[in-house]
Amino acid sequence: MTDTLTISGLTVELGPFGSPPILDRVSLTVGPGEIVALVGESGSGKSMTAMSLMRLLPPGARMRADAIRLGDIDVLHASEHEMNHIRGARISMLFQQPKRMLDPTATVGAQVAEPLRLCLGLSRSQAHARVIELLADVGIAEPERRAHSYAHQLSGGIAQRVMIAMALAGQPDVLIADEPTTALDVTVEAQILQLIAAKRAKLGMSALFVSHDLGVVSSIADRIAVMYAGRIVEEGTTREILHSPQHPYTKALVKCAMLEPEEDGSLYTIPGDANAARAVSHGCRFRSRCLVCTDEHLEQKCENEEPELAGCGRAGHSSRCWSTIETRTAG
Amino acid sequence: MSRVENPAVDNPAVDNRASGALDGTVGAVPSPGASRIRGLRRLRAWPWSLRLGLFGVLAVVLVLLATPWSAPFDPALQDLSNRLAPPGVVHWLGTDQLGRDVLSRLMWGGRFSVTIAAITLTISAVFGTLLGIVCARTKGALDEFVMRVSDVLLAFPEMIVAMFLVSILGAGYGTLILALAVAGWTPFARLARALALEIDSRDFIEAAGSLGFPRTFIILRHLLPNAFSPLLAHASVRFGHTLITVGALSFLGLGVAPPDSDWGSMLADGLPYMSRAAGLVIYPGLAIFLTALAVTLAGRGINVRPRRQGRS
Repeated sequence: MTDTLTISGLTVELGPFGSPPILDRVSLTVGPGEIVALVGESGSGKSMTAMSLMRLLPPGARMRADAIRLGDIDVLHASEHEMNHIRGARISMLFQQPKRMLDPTATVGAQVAEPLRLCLGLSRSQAHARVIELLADVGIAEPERRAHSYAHQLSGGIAQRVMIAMALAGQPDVLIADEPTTALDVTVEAQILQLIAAKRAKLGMSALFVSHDLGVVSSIADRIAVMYAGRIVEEGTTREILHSPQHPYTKALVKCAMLEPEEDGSLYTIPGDANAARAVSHGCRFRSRCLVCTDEHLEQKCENEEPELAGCGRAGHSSRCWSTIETRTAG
Repeated sequence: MSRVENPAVDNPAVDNRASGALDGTVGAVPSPGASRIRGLRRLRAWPWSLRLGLFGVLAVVLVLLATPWSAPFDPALQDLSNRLAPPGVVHWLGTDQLGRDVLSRLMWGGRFSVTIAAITLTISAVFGTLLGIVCARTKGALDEFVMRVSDVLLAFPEMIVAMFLVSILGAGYGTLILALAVAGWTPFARLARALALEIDSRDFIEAAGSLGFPRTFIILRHLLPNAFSPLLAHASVRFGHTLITVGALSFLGLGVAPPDSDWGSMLADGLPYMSRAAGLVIYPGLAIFLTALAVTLAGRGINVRPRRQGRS
């Protein structure tokens, strides 16, 4: 079975030549009907990965990759014109601030109709009928009336539903969701997650779910890839990642997500600063914040070289830390 | 389903979104067909400048449209026995140095002034806006070139540029409009460029790109509508300006030439008789001033309105 989405060796650089890459040889696959989550803190390159897939990187960004494939389409080498046919029709995207993603001067109905008329070539009346269907499909009450609303009249949850309707209008193979629920409150968040999961089941599409919140991800993803400073440091099934994280960074993230108070009543935070990792030119980028490194006397190894992503524990679970590799070879 | 007046303050008690049911639908619609009807009902809430300005513009347009039927006299009809008559029952605003009815001449002259200003403005606004947006989108050499050209044009007063072009190309309505358009496109190009750069960085443009919309479509359907209201406001301010420039060129004999006359040339004609019949200068001057004021006020009002509405 071929994967729906394959990324291999994706490297993105921004700024002057020679500066450390924003994304460093990121490889990821998403199978048919699978939801893969990309987790990491701000600036770890999650959104950059998502934008690279759409080929919508900011001007000045330099992108290299061994391959980016969407089914049998070569996204990496597609022309801009071909990309416009891929975007929306084969791969579409949800964003963080749904209300700001809607044009303030056009009605909801007009905007949902745009992909239908442009990508699917429906007539005005066909598109209108389909808009009502799509809006009803994402659970919006009174779709006929709602179609006449403007973005500023919507709540965040409704706006995100509208965005989902727009994203699904072209019946894409892959949905990229870039922190789609971050701006929403928790009850609405749960509904949007359920909606995405329901759509996945109904339409059989795959999804790449970008989030900084392990809690959100655990409820929806089949697999999780953890990113740190532009690299994937651990990858595995949701269960594996949450119950037996291997990389020290993942361990720390899981510990943070538990919200269990320390002895003095404060919550656990990862020591140090993620931005510092950008300056690290060689070796493991997490080592300055890593406790395992000093505990297991791996300083020398960690400083010299960061290992490649290598299998650890069970099948399909891999991590990028000397400690897990040590354990594996020792065991 | 409950009706909630303002979606921003949804009441969780009546809105089933609090129940978290997926199969249930969410989001009651505020009121049927909401915004359009509400926009009209809010006429009273419009700023006074918009109401006053629109009233003035409407009045001027109606009077000028009706002129061929409603003007009391032929504007070219001379009555040398009744020269420089004061305002009276027959000639409401008096007669000029050749005994022509001032009111009729004012009405016919306004048709020239306002039409020329409107055509000029439309040409320079459309051309300038498109050029500005293309510049903002392409950046690079074209942008640099256009902006430097506009720098040069802006360094001279619009009047000087227009006078220069008219004197080279010769008088005539075509050249007059061309000269004014060449002198007047720069502010639109600059404004449109700045607006396009700002709007381009907004999220919904990115979202439109992520749906695979072609560039021209995004510009026409998403960029332009969002730049429209400041551009319209600017156009209205420019209209007053252009009207005065047309008047000034005619006053200097470079614009509308006899036998036609506009407000500017009426002003020039009346100048020698200012001490005996001040009305010959006052009325056309007042017509230019009030028309420019009305359009400018309306433009100010347009610019104020959407900002207030946007916060609702």
